[in-house]
Amino acid sequence: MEQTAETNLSPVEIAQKFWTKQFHSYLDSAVEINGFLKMLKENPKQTFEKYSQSQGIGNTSFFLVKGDGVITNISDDDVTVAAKSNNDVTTIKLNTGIYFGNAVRDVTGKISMGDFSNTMDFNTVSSELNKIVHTQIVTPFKIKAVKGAAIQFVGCVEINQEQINTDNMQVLPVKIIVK
Amino acid sequence: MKRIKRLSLILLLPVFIFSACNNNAEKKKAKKMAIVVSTLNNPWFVFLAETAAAKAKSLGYETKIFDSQNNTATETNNFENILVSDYCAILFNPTDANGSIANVKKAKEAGVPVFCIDREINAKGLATSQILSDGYSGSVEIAKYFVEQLNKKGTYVELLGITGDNNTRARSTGFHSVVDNYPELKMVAQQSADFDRSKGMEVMESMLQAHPDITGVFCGNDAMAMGAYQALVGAGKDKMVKVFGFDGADDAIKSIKENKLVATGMQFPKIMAEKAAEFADEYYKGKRDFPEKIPVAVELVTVKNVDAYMGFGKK
Repeated sequence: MEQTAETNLSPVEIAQKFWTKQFHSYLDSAVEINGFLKMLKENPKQTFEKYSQSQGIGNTSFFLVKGDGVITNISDDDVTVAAKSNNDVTTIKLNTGIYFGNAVRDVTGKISMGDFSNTMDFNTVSSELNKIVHTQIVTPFKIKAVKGAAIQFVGCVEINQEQINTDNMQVLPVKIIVK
Repeated sequence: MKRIKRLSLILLLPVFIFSACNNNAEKKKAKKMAIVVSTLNNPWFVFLAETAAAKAKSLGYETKIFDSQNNTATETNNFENILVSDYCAILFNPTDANGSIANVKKAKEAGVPVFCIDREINAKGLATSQILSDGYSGSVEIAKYFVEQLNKKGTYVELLGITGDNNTRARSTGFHSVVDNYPELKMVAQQSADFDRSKGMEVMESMLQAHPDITGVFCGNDAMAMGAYQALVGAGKDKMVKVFGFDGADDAIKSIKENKLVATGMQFPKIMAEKAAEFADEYYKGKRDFPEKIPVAVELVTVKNVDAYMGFGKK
């Protein structure tokens, strides 16, 4: 995200430009969810090293995951999906409530705090990206989602390295196709 | 021939002078680190400064701690003294994100690297590196817990830190980025108490007179939260009003264990202070490539996980 330092774009414009021009080119690098969970269980250290992105010093890391599945339940803040791959099936929850974290900003590793002279601008980029995802991805999906529908998704997962818990994993969707 | 020699000497004189100045600028400075801290009137910053000094000493440096007393003029005096005293690096906790820029610039011009700790300056390319608490994300976590604890409704007040400090803004903005999404949670007053415990108590007392029915208080640091809690005890309202702080100070952790304060955001002053001293040591040994800004994660501490923590860090 080097250009952010050299341009006079506002944080909101930076977020919009990043979403429209760059973000989607990283979606191909998403890891299939069943394989990802297997790797995480068998070799967490290597999985974090190979697939995660994070900012600075801390335990929270972000992963891009993808999958195919069937909607099994719908509630106010999430949609439960049985994600299938070969003989493996994992139950995940696609977050459809308001998301407050930094997954979208940080999952590609291309936006760095060092690109900004003022950290608040860096934070504003994150909240703006969350708004974009909510408006462009989550809200249309909530309208279309019905139990039994087959979907394809790409999403962001946030995992604490010290407390790895993959039960009912929450995935923030950044791309969804309802078949 | 003599005239030619004299002329050559005159022509070469600026080169000799330039060369001498250059050598002087590159002269190895003494193994002395200055630690400039915004205030020593708050245990969190005392811990930050003393940890930085201890780490620098363990790496073989003499150290001296300078207290800026939350005053940019005092901070400027501290920098002026440091820059004529042959220090090799400044581990710096700025008083003001904008007001402290000039001091860092002077240090850079004098060839003394500055490593910011916890608080940032709003400038790029001046500090060698800035190791900063991720207050925004930490406040987001506190706010999510705040919403849950207040059942998404009721009135609350906010005690802000020093106006102009980026941490004040980051914590407040992070908090509101969550809480403002719940229309039945209404903020009825917001006032600065300068990150100070006594002021926190005074401001809370006055807020309680105007808004006796509040059910929550979000404070930009633990010192103000402890002061606010004291005011609530004095008014007999400590069981009705939930107090949330930020910092992970020793007394706040004890208070959470005793079910008094509800939550705080654990910053990691030890990690930040030690990293700054290590970076300064690496700079002294010749390294020049440092990340401009490094965020350090803040963790939510509540009664559920408080046993994993102690004042200023993890057990």
